[in-house]
Amino acid sequence: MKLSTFIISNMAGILTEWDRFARSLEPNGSLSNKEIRDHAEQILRAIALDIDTEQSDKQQFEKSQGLAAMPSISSGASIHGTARQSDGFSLLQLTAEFRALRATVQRLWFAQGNQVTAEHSVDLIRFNEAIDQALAESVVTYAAQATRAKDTFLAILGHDLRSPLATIAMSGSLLSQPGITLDAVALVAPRIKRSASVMNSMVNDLLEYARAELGGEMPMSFSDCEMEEICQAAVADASAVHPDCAIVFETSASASGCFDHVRLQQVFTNLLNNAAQYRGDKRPVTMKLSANEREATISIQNSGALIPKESIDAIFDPMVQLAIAPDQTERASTSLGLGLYIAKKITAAHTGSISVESSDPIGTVFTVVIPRNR
Amino acid sequence: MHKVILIVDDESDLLDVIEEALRFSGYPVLRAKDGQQAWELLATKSPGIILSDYQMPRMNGDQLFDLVRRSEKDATTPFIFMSSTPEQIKSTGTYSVLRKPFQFDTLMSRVNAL
Repeated sequence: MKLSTFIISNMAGILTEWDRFARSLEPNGSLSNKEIRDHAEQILRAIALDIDTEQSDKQQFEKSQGLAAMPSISSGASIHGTARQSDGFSLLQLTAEFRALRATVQRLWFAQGNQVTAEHSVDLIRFNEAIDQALAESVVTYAAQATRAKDTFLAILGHDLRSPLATIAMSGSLLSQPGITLDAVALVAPRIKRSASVMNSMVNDLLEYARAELGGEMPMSFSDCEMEEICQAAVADASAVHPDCAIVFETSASASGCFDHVRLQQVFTNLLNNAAQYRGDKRPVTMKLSANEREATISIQNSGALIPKESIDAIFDPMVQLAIAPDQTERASTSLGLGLYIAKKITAAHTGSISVESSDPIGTVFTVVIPRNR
Repeated sequence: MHKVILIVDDESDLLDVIEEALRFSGYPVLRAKDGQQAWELLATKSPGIILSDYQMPRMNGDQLFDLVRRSEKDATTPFIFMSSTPEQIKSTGTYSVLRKPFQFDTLMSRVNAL
């Protein structure tokens, strides 16, 4: 059987193998079957078509030198590269997918008793060329997407970190003017304090992100403490940044345990800041603490615009900023798109979990579950 | 007689501090939290200087600048962008730029010169 015919008629089996391998690479464990399979079938059909397409010696030479004309960015392989970058796959993992695809097709083809005839050897060469071409297309778009994400991140960093800095710089130089009044001092001082708090939160997020990206482990310091105190400290932090937002804290049980209180406070402060930022309708943010013998559960709820369903899956990925409701006049000023990513890392370091639900009429609820004992 | 200055920024803390600084120096101030609110305010007010952030929700500084320059009333009003990333400013026309963060003396020397 011709290799191209084999690929088309055995598509289901090849895709099943693809799914299994891609699932083993998946960084976050959150991709649906459709996302795992992504554009694999489209890529395979393009490869089968490529094998059957007449090719001149010149075209073959150009392909071998990486000089073949790239197809439009809407090719399956091109879209696949962009999608895998967004899903957190590394470049090595992307390459491994194509290596596995190459091996799978050849293994299944030989398993059906196909022999390497002169005609088939040409097919195999064309198949390998087509796989290499698809890989090249994926790598190009993967790299472009990575560059876009980096540029966006730097732009947000440049803007968001300088905004509170601008307030502090302006305030400091105003306060040093001769004749400044006590009323002016009273107005400016809390703004300096709040801006410093915002900057501190951003720097903390950046440090955690840099540490994670550099492959370092997040240093944790566990000790016996009371979850209620951690929650109340986070409420105080978030209230300092959002003084106009009412944050209601409810607790139904004592929840002492072995926690890293500094890290958990960082998680809850990030979640509360997000909830206050995106509450939209100015209604209060509610934080609830409950516990049983094994674990403490902390939920943070707001009643603002819902998070679009298509954004939920990627919400814990780095550099994802929550979409802003069209009628929202406040811009996210305390988020580099890292807060939820770091929250997930910290809860994982506690062998806990973090999840989100966003639906009417409850609104958006982030739920953190932390085991009480290690 | 000092000119009235319209300040536009979505960072309310910075808006407050700039307003305080300008009032301290004797300037009457109008304020808006984004381009949209500034444009609505300009329907009835005629500031002598517009001092605007660039990246804002609803209507950014770029769009506000275009509307102002195409209006009859404020087409020649001095317009200063305040931006931490001035290289992103795409507007064409006459404006100046104050790079954030800036100090009190820098702000005052710019507005005093207009």
